[in-house]
Amino acid sequence: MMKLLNPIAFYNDRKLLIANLIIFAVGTALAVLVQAWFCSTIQLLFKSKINIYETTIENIIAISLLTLVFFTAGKIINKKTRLIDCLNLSLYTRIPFYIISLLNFNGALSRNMPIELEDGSIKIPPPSSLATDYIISFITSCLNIVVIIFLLVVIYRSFKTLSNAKKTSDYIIFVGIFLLVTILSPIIINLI
Amino acid sequence: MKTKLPTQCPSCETLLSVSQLSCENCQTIVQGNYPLPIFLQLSPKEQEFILQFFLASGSLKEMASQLSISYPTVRNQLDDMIKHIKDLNI
Repeated sequence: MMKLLNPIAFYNDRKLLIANLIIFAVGTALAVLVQAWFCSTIQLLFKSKINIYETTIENIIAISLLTLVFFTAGKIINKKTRLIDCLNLSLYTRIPFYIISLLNFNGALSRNMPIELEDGSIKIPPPSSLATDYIISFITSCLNIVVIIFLLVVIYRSFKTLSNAKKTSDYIIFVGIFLLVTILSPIIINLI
Repeated sequence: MKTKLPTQCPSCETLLSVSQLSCENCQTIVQGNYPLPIFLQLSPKEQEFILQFFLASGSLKEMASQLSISYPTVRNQLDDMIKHIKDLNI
């Protein structure tokens, strides 16, 4: 479990990168299958129509932006920070998104969510009265909370390892850059 | 039982110095006041790290592979030790 919460501290960088790239390829393909849309570094939505090219590019941009955050903050804190560790961490933090997107198999999740249509308009579905929809929403919400906690722990521990961050000011620098890029990422992804 | 070499005074926590050395063969005793070498001022874990680093020919990658941990973890341990040794010198 400790290894899963801080892969950067335990696994060989090259082996981890190969595993992460395989997961990236499989995860992106699955995201297309379930119409998942990576509209920012930490956001996942669903679209009525999606293609593999767009999803791959959006995912690559999200990963590149996250790598940029880890690398910039890491270099400010410790000049010995390596790009491969930052890339590994950003690829690793995408895994929960691929798992969550699988919940939308057969549209189980997206049929009760606002969806962007082909003409760019947003379709808001009527409130559901089905008990199963409430159960699905409840399970998804619980899973999302678990994923958020998991991501926070992974990012905190792994960033500490890759940059040797110790002081509070180190984390303030990291959080500042992270928030800035997170706010800017939807704009950047929409521009490209 | 392997005893641990005390480096700090248990009363006031000041760094201890060597005041007596003895020969186990002829029982000769040398008395004086010798400062503790820097290597011995380090914790047993840090001493073990230096030994492993030396045996791995100074290769952090080799050390990481031997200890089944990642390169950044070994590098961080080394950086922390460098800082500790610099602090001891001051």
